[in-house]
Amino acid sequence: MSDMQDIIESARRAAEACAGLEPRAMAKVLADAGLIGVLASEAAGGLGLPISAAAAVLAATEAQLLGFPLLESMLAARVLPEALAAEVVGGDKLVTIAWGGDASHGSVTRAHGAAGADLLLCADGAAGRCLALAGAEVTEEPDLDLERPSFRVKVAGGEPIAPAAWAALLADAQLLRAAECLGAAETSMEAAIAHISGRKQFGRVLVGMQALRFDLARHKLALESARVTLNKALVQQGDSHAALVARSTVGEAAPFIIEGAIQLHGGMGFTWDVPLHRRLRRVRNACAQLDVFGARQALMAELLA
Amino acid sequence: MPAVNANLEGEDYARASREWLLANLPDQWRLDAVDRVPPTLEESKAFEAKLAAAGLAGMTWPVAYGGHGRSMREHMLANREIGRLPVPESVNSIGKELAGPIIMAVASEEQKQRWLPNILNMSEIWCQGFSEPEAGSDLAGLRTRAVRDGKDWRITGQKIWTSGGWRAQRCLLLARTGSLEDRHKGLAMFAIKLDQPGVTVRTIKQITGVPEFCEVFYDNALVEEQDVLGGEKDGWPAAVKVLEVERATNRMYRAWRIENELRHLVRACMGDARLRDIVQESHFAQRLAAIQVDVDVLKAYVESVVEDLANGESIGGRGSLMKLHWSEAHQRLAALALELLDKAAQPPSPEIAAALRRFRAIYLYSRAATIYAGTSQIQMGIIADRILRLPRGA
Repeated sequence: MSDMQDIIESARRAAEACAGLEPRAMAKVLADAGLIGVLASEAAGGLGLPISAAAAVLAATEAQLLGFPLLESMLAARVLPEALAAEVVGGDKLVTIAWGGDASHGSVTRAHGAAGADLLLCADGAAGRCLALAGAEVTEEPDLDLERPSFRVKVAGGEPIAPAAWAALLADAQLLRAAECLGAAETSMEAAIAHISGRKQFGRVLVGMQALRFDLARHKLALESARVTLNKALVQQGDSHAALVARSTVGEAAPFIIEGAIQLHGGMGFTWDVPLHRRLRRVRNACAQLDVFGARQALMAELLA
Repeated sequence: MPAVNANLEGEDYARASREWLLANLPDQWRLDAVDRVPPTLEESKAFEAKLAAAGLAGMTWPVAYGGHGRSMREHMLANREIGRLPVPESVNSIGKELAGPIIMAVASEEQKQRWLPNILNMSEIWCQGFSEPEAGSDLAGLRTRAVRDGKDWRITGQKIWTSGGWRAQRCLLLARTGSLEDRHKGLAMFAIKLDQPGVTVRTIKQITGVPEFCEVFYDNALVEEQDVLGGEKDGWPAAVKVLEVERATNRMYRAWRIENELRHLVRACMGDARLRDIVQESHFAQRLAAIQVDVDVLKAYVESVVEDLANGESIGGRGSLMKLHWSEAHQRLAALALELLDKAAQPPSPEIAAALRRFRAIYLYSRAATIYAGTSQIQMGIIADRILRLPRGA
């Protein structure tokens, strides 16, 4: 367990060190800390750890607003051929994943950090595709995320990724994204507690007011309910029901908690300089990937079965 | 006689428990039965005594006290099976879920042997005497007095919201031995016999129409020396610790019972010509799925608590998170059920009528869930104070 604490602490420090760096420099920092290869096989220079370890790392890096597609890199390094994976794990090749669109339509979207990356993974029907980005047409798309700009990419060529491997990657991506969301939510809640613990109004410290304490109690309930279901899904990997539940709880809880933290900050929460809006922007993007609506549809189908 | 499942473990134990329930639970008692006839008090007592003998009550209680010496994990498995079937509520749940654990933690050996087996064999039904007209959420304002009478004690005062007081033989009573200024100190616990001249029990009609809870008047009522629990000073503080854990572990079947209700609702809707289409529309489908998520959240909490207790870890204030969650989730399910069932084809089929009967009762009864055992506001206070440890901010 203390090993895990060490990894989380080094993730936090590495993400902090990445602030202001170019993507290739970030990749080196993250690779040196062993973070890109958390999931990759030992043969590829990775640690071969279970997905729960990657989740803990991503919760910590998300709290620091890391501007690097670490989640994508971790998953790609697990699915790529060994030699290529080793280059990704070592921080020598940059990779990202397009979460929108399909190769068969000619272009894919929502590829964080595709400009300047070397490799791209994307959907190709039920399978996946991996292609080199050199010479590809890459256009920035309007997006909420301020640290991880999103790109549209024209797709040509590339190697197929087997449907089973691609499906597993997509499912794990949702759980890891959920872990990021909870990291962001928890940090935001802590910031709100710190803010109202220091600020005086009406001659008293705000944290003493029951209305605000009750708000935070609701945020804590949402956070822990999401966490306990996400942990279950991470431990019981491959349990599709547990994953649907986790997507649903996290997809509701994370924006609820961060929106609430902004509210508790008052006017400060609405400023550009206070980074809560950055977390909210990223979490809103993440919600598209968690797809609470789709998760509930699937749960209802189970109920009707 | 050993329990039917005594030699089995894990899922085999769970399966045997389920089979016993299916074989022994009368169809007409099932909460989802179309031709439901609820058991009488005497029938419930006889059934629950059989249930305990079969290894499905007092799972974790030591064999020496009529229990089955099972682990917390097995306790959860048995409760899962109990929850999955629409078994009527226990008429001695205060005895099994509240008094029992407190007795186990604070009572003397002689008291344990005298009381615990009688809870499981249903010869003694317990109720709980904590709340008073002037002390609801704030038990420190308790006024009922206990004064020495030689070696014995005499109780004078009034208790209220005493669930099942009318059918109980014994009450786990909290009374003041010191002065009102002592607040939480100077409270002692008594296992008082209710069948005596100084005790008057009056039922109060609830919003469900059922006179289930009671007010109980004590006028110089006797508690013999042997019925003081855990000593004059130490009993209540020890009980408070038990109650914190119990908030997370009591009625462990709850998540699976709410799921049983959800499935009953969906089944009833799918059997109705009008509801079959309505229930599959996005609006209702999403809300029903959200209830399934509520159920799974509760299961995940329960599993984490059982795991942590098995590993000897503290569960902190998790019981407050769980109680706040399930009480509101149950209310959401009941309201959604009525919203749906009221759109059924008219006149309602027997199946819809049965579902309406069940969910109307749950709708009204579940109003209490956010009030009893610490209101939602009390739970939020606990979460703010003891889990988040927010400063007081004076």
